[in-house]
Amino acid sequence: MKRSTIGLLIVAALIVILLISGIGTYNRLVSAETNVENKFAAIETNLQRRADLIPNLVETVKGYAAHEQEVLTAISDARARLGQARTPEEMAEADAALNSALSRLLVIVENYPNLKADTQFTRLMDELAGTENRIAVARQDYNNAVSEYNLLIRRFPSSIYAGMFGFERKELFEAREGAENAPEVKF
Amino acid sequence: MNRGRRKRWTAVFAALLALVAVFWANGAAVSASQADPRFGVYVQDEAGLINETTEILLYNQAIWLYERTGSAQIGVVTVNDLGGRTIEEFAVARFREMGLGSRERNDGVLLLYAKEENRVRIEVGYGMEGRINDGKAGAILDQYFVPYRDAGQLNEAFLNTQSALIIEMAAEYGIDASGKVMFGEDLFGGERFGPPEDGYAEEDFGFLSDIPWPVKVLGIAVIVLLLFLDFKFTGGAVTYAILNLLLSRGGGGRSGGRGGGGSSGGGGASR
Repeated sequence: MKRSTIGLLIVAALIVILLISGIGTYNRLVSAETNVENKFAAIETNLQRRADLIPNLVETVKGYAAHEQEVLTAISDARARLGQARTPEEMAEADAALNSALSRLLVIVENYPNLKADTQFTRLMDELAGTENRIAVARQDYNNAVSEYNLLIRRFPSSIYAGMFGFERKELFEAREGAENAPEVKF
Repeated sequence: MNRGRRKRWTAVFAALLALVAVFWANGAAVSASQADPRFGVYVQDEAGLINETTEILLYNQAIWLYERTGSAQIGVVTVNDLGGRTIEEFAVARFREMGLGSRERNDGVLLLYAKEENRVRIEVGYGMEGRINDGKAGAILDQYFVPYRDAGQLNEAFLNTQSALIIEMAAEYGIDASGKVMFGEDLFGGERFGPPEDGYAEEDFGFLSDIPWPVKVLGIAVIVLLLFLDFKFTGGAVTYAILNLLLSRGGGGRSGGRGGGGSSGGGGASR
C-alpha cells in the first residue's frame, strides 16, 4: 500500500473514534440535562400545589381568626410573588418568603384552640406540610441532578463536547441571603 | 490430579464458603441492630418495640398485600433514634433505600416510628399519593396510631395503622381488604387472617419451580464449570465480586423479601 493511503486510513480511523466518543458523550449530556429538567418540573409542580392550597387555608383561618389580617395578607402576597417567579432563583426567594409567612401563621394558630381542632384545618395543614416536604425533597433531587450535570460539563474530555454543542452550567435552587424576611407590611 | 492440587482446591472452596458466611453475617449486622431478617423489608423492628406475634401478623398481612397486588409493599420500621435528622428526611432516605413498591408503579408505603423522638411518619410512594394523600395519612395516624401510642400500646398502634393502610392500598387495586386485615380488638379472638388453608402452593414461589429438570441439571453444571474456570484463571475474583453484589444489596431484606425499587417524593404525614 502507498504511504499516503495508510496515512489517510489512520486519519479516517481517528475521525471515526472521535465521532463515536462524541456521540456517547453527547447522549450522556442530553440525559443529564433531561434529568435536571424533570427534577425542576417536580419542584414547579409542588410549588404550584402549595400555591393552590393557600387560598383554602386562608379562608379556613379567616373563619376563626378574621382580625389576623397582617399575616393573612403576607401569605397571599407571597403566593402572588411565587406565581410570577420564573427563574429558579426567583422561585427560591418567593418560596422562602412564603415559608416565613406560613411559620408566622403557625405561631398565631396556637392562640386559637378551636381552629387547631378543626378537621378541615388539620387536613389542610397536613397537606401543606406534605407539600413543603415534597418541595424540600424535590429541591434536593434537583440540586443533585444539577451537580451531576455541571460536573459532566466541566470534566475533561466531555467539556469539549459540551462547549461544542452549547451545554451550559445550570444554577442550583438556593435562596439569596435575607430573602426569607418578607417585606414589612406597613399601614 | 496429585494430592497437592486437590488440597489446594479444597482450601479454595472452604475459603469461598467462609467468604459467603462473612458477607451474610456482615450484611445482616450492618443493616439493623435487632431487625429480624425473616421479615425482609416488611417489618424492621430495630428498636425492639414490637412483640413477635405482632411482627408475624404484620409480615403476613404485608405479604398478602404484595401477592394480591403483585407490587404494592408496605414496610413497618422502628428505629432507636433519628440521628439528628428530621423524621421527614429520615423517612424519605429510608424509603428509597428499601425501595418499597415496584419501580414502575411506586406503590410503596413506609410506616416509620422513632423511639427516642417519639415521632411517627407515614411516607407514601409517588404512585400511592392519589389514594393516600397527606390529609388522609394524617387522619389515619390520628385515628389508628396516636391514641394507642399515647396509651403505651405500640403493638396495637402498628397493627391498626398497618391494617388501615393496607385497606387503602388494596382499594387502589380494586381489592377489598376489610375482611382480611386485623385490628387490635381482633388480635386474640379473630380467625379472619392467616396463611391459606392448604398452605402456600408450589407455584406461589416463582418460575424456578417450573423449569424442567434436565434444564436445571444443565444449568447447575454450567454454573459449576464457570466457578471452576473462575478460580483457575482469576483466583475467584469474579465470584467474589458477584457474591458481594448479591449479598450486600437490600441489606437485611434478603431472606424475607426485597423492595421492588420504588421511590417516594416526600408525601405523607407525621405526628
